Amino acid sequence: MAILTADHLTKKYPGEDTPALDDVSLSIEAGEFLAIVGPSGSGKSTLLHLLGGVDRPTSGSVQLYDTDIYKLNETQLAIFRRRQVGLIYQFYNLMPELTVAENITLPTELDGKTVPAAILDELLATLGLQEKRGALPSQLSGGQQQRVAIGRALIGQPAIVLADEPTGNLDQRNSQEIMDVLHQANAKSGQTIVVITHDPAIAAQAGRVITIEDGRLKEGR
Amino acid sequence: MGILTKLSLRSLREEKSRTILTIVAMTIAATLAVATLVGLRSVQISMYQRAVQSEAGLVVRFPGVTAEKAEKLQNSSQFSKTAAFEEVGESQLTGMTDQQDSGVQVYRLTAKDLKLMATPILAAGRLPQTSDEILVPSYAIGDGSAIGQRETVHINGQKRRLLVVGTIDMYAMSPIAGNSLVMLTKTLTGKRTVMVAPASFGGLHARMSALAKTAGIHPKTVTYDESALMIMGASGNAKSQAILVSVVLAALLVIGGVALIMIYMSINLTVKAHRERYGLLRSLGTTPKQLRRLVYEQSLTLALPALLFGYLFGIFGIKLTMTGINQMMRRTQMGFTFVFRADWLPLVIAGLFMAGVTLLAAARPAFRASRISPIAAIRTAETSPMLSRWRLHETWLMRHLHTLALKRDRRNTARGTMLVLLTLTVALFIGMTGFMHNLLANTEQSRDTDLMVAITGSDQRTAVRKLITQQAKTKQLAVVLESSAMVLKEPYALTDSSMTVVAVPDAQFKKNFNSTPTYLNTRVQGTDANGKNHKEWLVPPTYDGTYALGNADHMTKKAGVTTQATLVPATEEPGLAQLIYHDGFGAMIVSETLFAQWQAKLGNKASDMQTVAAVKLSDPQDHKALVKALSTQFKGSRVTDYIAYDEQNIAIMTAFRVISYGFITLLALVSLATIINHVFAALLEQKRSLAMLQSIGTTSGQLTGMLNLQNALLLVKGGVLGTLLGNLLSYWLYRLMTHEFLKSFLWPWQETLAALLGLAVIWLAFAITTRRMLRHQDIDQLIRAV
Repeated sequence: MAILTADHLTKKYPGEDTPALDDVSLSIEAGEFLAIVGPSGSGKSTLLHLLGGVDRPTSGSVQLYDTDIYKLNETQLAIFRRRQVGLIYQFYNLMPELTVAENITLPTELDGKTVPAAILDELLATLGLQEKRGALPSQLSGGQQQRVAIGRALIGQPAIVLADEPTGNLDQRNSQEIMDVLHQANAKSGQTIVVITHDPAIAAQAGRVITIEDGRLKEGR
Repeated sequence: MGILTKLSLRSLREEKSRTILTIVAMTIAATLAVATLVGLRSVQISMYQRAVQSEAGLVVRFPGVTAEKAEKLQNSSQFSKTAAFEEVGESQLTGMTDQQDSGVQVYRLTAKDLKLMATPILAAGRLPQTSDEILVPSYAIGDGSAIGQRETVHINGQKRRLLVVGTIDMYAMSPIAGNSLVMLTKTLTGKRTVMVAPASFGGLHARMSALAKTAGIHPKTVTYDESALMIMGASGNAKSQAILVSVVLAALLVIGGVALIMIYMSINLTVKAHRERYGLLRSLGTTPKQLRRLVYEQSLTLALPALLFGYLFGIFGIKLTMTGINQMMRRTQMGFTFVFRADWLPLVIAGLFMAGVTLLAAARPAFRASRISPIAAIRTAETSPMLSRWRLHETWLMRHLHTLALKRDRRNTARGTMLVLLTLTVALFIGMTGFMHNLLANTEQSRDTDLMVAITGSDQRTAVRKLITQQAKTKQLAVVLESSAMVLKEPYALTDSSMTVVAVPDAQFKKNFNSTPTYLNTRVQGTDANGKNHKEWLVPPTYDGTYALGNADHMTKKAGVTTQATLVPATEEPGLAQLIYHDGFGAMIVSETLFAQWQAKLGNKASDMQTVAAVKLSDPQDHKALVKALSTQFKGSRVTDYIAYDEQNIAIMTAFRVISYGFITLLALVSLATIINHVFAALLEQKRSLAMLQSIGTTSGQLTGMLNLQNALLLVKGGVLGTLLGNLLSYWLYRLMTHEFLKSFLWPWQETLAALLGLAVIWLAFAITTRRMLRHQDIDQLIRAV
């Protein structure tokens, strides 16, 4: 069953002659682990942001279940992101003044909810961050910071996790650890995951890979 | 505590420098608001106390109240104090001056109320202690009546001999002052007037009307000291209340405007600096409303300590200022004291005002924050400014001087805003203080006379001259005989007005005035056909007609003296001019012989003649001793001490200057704080790019030089433009007020110097901070941090 469907997505930035994304359509199944690959500037991140409701398309639509997310107003779209999407960035983007535990629980707390201690403990254990729960991001290594970002993406059990080059800033060992955590979430909880990467080794670990070039979907398996 | 509140507080803690700078700027705004409101409240209370001083604060009058109802009324908790008096009837005083013809009112009070009501209006003597003692109006102490003498008083047809124990100031606001006799009684017997001092002023007229009904009198018969109540905003006159509210609103509007800009810019800077962070929060699902709340919360969190500091500095500052002014006023024996009052009303208004201004200022940045796209979390590069071709153009200076500093300055998109704000700040400071300087300088008058004495009756010239020369060393001394005459028909400009006739020794008259009556002409303020003020001669210099003079006291149309006179500007007779300059009118100079003849022809009595002396002292310090000596030797003389007046004027002007300069300076400080805040915030934002420049080999000295040059460019441009505009503003304001009586315009060079010095200090502070920051910068961490 398709959990997310993108239909004829086009994104053109002001002042640019060619669109960053040109008439892209795709659907993502529930529980799928998808990798989007392509060279720099091909439109991978643009596609990811449009799928996650972070940016708005020039034309086209994105449907999560039966909801056309771009028909939502700003507040509804924010709540959609908070509850249905988990975002992971290449540069972690953690709140420097919040601790590891606070960064992880941030989306849930924005929803006015408290994460049960047991769930948080379990997630911290999965991420290997039990000892670091009270630490600030500046006291963590790159790999640890990215694990916090993954924790933040997973804590609300969103419909889909979108990861933009999650290993792009890490060494091989840390990259593999990150992929392991994502795989574990996918395998254990059936979490749908979309990863953007230009690393063939990372892409090879995905269940399906699609390639994007010059803003167009080229191939997929 | 919600996660956003936590985030907001930690973010403020994390960015200590920015937080402190913003709080400092807000503190200045809060100080200004608190100081203005507490100052206005204190001035209001001071003016009210001054206004009700002579009536002991008893500003509401309930007339015709019966004994039983009066007791109930006086026990009301709505009053802080009350008193009652009884009107016994009308009386006649015998053997006193002309004014007793109309009769006087007789009032009776009990000892307690007499003390309360009569003490503030007692001009001389003491209060009555028995029922056959009276207080009389001050004018009544003339030839036939004096303190300690018994006077025959007719009260309702009954003749009584009463002992005069004191006089009351007949011009005081008290209902028992004026043309009245005041007596003591053990108890009031009939209907009485109850005087009350309200404990509070809210809805005063309605409350007093209700009380009037319970006191058995018609509410319309209740009278109020409306002029005093107007000061407290409790007047029944809606217009006067509106004026009071308008004054407060105008002050708040000015402060609010400046504070609004300052707080807006501070918050806006923070929002701009946090664009990426807000984008991230949006991408994580923070709603626009939550982000708006975050900005509001952060702003109010900053405003709270600022308000507390504002209370502290504002109250302390006003207290200190008032103490200083009061000390100065005490020294000059002005009899006016500022009452410091920091009650809840101005403090609550200041609190609400600051909260309101902060929320208003935060509204737009909050809206902006809520509109930040989640994509901003990732696409930081998009925040590069859109630069026009003009900004990218390389100037001659850029090619030959610190290229990077000039480039950065030219390509800084916020530079225009800062330059405009700085220019306006400097211009307003110089313009307003310069204008105040001119206004105050023009009210300071130079005098030829330090002291004048007028003794009515016989010729006292020799005795006066002797006393003055014995008591003090004089620079100039003129002692003459004077009398008054009424100008009939001509010259037209003087018709129906009194003219001073001055007698000089015959020899002097012959030598200096060619034995011809001479009119010392003065210049007075006139209005031309266009309504513009200008100076004109009291008697047109071309006038060659006669002077028809009659008796000054009796409005007769028959001229006693008709004479020709030479017209001479008073300034050409400095010795005599000092005698007449005090009232702006001229005088007719005649010889002693002619003076005696004119006295007879005009029908003047000896008592219409005055010996007048004008003194310019070598040492102004001698004035007090001389006044005392003159008053002691010549009882009943009128001594005018211009040095004492000048001292009082200087005290008032200094107080006015301190308050107005203080207000303007604080306003300027709020703007400057904004600029400082902005420059420092920009500096903090540049930390990373500066670290990058350091990493590619720029020395910290080069960087400091570059930033100092950038700051200097801003301050110099703002300083020069502000100085030009400020001087023009000062001149323009002066021209709006100007007329011939004002002295020439004084260019505000002191104010300009103060403003430029202030800018130099700010530049120095920037330079020191920049140097410190660059020396302690962790380049590695800054470059790697994202």
